Formats: sequence, structure tokens, C-alpha cells
Amino acid sequence: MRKITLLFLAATAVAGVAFADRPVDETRPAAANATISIEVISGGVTVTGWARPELSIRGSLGDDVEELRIDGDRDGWTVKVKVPRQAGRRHRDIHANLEVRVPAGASLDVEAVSASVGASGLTGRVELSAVSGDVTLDGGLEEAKLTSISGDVRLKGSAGRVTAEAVSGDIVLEGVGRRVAASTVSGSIELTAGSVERAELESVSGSIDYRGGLAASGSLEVDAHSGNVRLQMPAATSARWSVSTFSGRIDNGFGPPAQRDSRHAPGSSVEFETGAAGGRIEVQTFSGNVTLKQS
Amino acid sequence: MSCDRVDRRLEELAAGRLLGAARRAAERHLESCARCRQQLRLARRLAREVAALPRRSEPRRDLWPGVTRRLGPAGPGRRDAMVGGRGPGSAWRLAAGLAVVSAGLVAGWLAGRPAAGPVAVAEPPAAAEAPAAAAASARHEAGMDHAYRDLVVAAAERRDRLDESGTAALEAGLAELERAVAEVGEAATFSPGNLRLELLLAAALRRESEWASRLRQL
Repeated sequence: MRKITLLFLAATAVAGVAFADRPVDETRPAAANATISIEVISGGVTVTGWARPELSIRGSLGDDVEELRIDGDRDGWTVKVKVPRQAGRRHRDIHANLEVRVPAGASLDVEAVSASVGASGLTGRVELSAVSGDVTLDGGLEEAKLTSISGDVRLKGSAGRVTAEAVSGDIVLEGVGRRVAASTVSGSIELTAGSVERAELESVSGSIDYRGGLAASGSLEVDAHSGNVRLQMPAATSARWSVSTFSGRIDNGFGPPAQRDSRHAPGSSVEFETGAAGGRIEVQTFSGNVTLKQS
Repeated sequence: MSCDRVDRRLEELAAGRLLGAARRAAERHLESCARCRQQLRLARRLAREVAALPRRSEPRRDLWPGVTRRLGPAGPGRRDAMVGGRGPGSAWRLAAGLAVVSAGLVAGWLAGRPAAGPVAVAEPPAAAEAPAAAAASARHEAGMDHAYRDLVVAAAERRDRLDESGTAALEAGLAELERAVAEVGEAATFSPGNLRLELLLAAALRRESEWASRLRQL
């Protein structure tokens, strides 16, 4: 009898799990350059570019999700996971796990709260944002804007123009193209680039680590408060350098040592040129240390 | 040029240091963006008021050891007040705190001393400087208050978009920004006329403003 009861309980549990999520399988026609917007509160969204002129959404919705709304036409679709207006303790199961496929050249805009967001195989403009989830983008595309507050932001690919922002999350950008702007408060910034035309990197207490080159007339601006800054660049970098710190230390592997600016304050700075001095590199910190190293 | 990019170049634009194609792109954007025009007006006003501040000569003795002692670990005052309040409504309190803190820090710094709060004031400003600085402070405070009131309302409307982790991260992040502004303001007191510190302070304040804007965009 006890065994039968256990089997019954196990079967009930399995059935409960099986029916807890509602499956989603939706398809809509979409133009090659359609604009696709997706809004999710909780769970995860993965978007992949493909060659078909279609929007495809597969996955599952939690029991307390009201509906998956899909509005628009082939030029633009808005996908929204609707949850009860007061999604408090009584509505715990509001997650949505979605695998979305869109035309590779589509413009994509994903907004999430506590959901992770990922995208790959896209070539157009992509904007991904989350409050506490991680944001990940993979591939070679024209323009990307990636934002998370407490989650990490990662890019692997060759986006022409990249804007990445986080508060406590880390930003890791590998293979940045022509232009990049990245800012954090306490998270770190790690950037690997080929030869950027313009880079603006900012943090408050997070460290900034740049490994890459600078285009012939490019510019690199780095601004940190207490975070340490480390630039690892080719010995043949052609630039006018201006590096300063109020109370940090400057370790210059490219030119002369930094000099103290005043007898009464701890600030130090150094300005020098390398190569044909075609580009411009400016670094400033308040108390963070600066290391310039040849790669 | 987008609002973000204009924001990033605001200091240069206000100071007339932004030249060439970048300046033309910024001006084209400003023609159609009332928000950025307002930001530029505020930045120019800040630059004018900073330029009008009296410059004191260098001190006779090295004050830096005293500064480092005072900087030490960031004080608990306002930060505790901001970080302590979790749960519903904390985004409102956060934004309200930001408004007060930002206005206070700018006003306080413009008056030639750090704002009242976690960092103690070592020396009062010279008596002759006080009336002019106080007047500039009051004018600036009014301007900043107006600029942030809109953000506070917007943040309150959007607080339901923040989950617990996001709220905590924002609170901690803004506390970091507050600490940065206070540190630079404190150092500026002991190194008056230090252009680098002025730029650092302007950058820290700009970051505060940017993050408040991001709250509004959530």
C-alpha cells in the first residue's frame, strides 16, 4: 500500500511538472529588415538570426503568465510576455523561456527584467537590456547596444559600433570593431579589439583593461575614479598620449615617467608621443593606478 | 549623434572645446532635442559659475596628509540612508536621495567646500568669499533641483520595473558615485584651481546624471 501511495505521489509530481509550463510554438511572416521587439519579465530569451523571412517563437510559459502577445505585421513585430498586473507572491510562475528566430538582417530590441538575454547570427542593429540578467551577444553585426544593471554584459564578435553599460556587472567585449563606448560603476571592463577608431571607457571603482590597437587617427579615452586602468597596446602605436591621475600611480611602458604636478598635491601626469602621433590617447583617474604596457 | 553621445561630449561642448565634425553633429542633434539643449544650458551655467569662483593661492604647507586621513574609508551618513531602504519604493527613495545629494554636492562644492554629509569640512571658506559663493550655490541648487525633479517623478513611475537585485545594484552603484563626487569635492577644497579636479568632478556629476536618466528609461 505504501509503495502504491509513493508511486501515486511520484506520478502526480511528474504530471505537475509536465503541465506547469505551457508550450509556445508561433510563426509569423517577417521582412528581411523587420524590426522585432521582445519584452520579458523573468526567465530567458535566446534570439538567433536565420535566412528565412519568418519570426519563429518556441519555448514555454509559466502557469501565471497571462498570455504571449504578438502584435504587428511583416515589417515589425512586438512580442510581449504579459503577466498579472500585481505579479507578487500569488503569481510566482511568470517566467518565459523563449527561443526566437528572426531574419538575420532584422533590427532587434529585447528588454528583460530578471531574465538572461542572448542573441547570435544577426547582422543589423541589436539592442539588448536586462535589469538583473546577463546579456550576451555573439556574431558580426553593424551596431549593438547592450545594457544590464547587475548582470554581466558580453560581446563576442565584430560589431562595428558597440555601446555597453552596466552598474555592478562586468563588461567583456571581445573583437570590437570601429567604435566602442563602455561604462560601469563597480563592474570591470575588459576589452579586446583589433584597431579601434574611437573608444570611450569609463568606470567608477571597476578596473579597465584594454588590449588592442588604435587606428591611424583614432582616439581612446579612458576615465576611472578609483578603478585601475591597464592599456596593453602594440609598440608601434601612433598617438599623442596624455595620462594623469590625482592620487594614483602611473607606470609608463611607452614613454617617460610621470611627473608630480604640484608640491602640495599628489597629482602626477605625463604627455608624450609615439610613432607619427596620428591618434590620441587620454587617460585620467582620481585614485586608480594606470599601467601602460607594450604588447 | 544620439543623446548618449551628446551627453558624453557635453563638457567639451559647453567649454567650446568640441570642434569639427563632432561639433557639427552635436549641433544638428541639439536642434531637435529639447532635453539635450537643457543639459547643455546647465553645463554652460556650471562652467560659468565654476569660472567665476575666486581662486586662492596655494597653501603654505602640504595639506595632502590631512586630506588622505579624512578621505579614508567612505563615511556612512547618506550612503546608509540610501542603501538601507530596500523593498517597494526604494527606487523612489534612491532617486530622491540622488536629487538631494547631487544638488547638495554641486552647491556645496561651488561654495568652495564639500557638501554636508559623510566628509567633514576641514577649513571654512575665507569670509570674503562666502557671500558670492553662497549666492552662486543657491542659484545652482535651484537649477539642479529643477533638472532632477523630472527624474525623481519618472523613477517613481518605473520602480516596478526593478527587481530586488537590480535595485540593490543601482543603490550600491549610486552610492559609489556619491563617494566619488565627495572624494573629488574634498580634494578640490585642498587644491583650489586644480583644473584636473574640476574635470573629474564634472565627469562624476555627469555620471550621476546619466544613471538617473537610465532609471527613467527603465
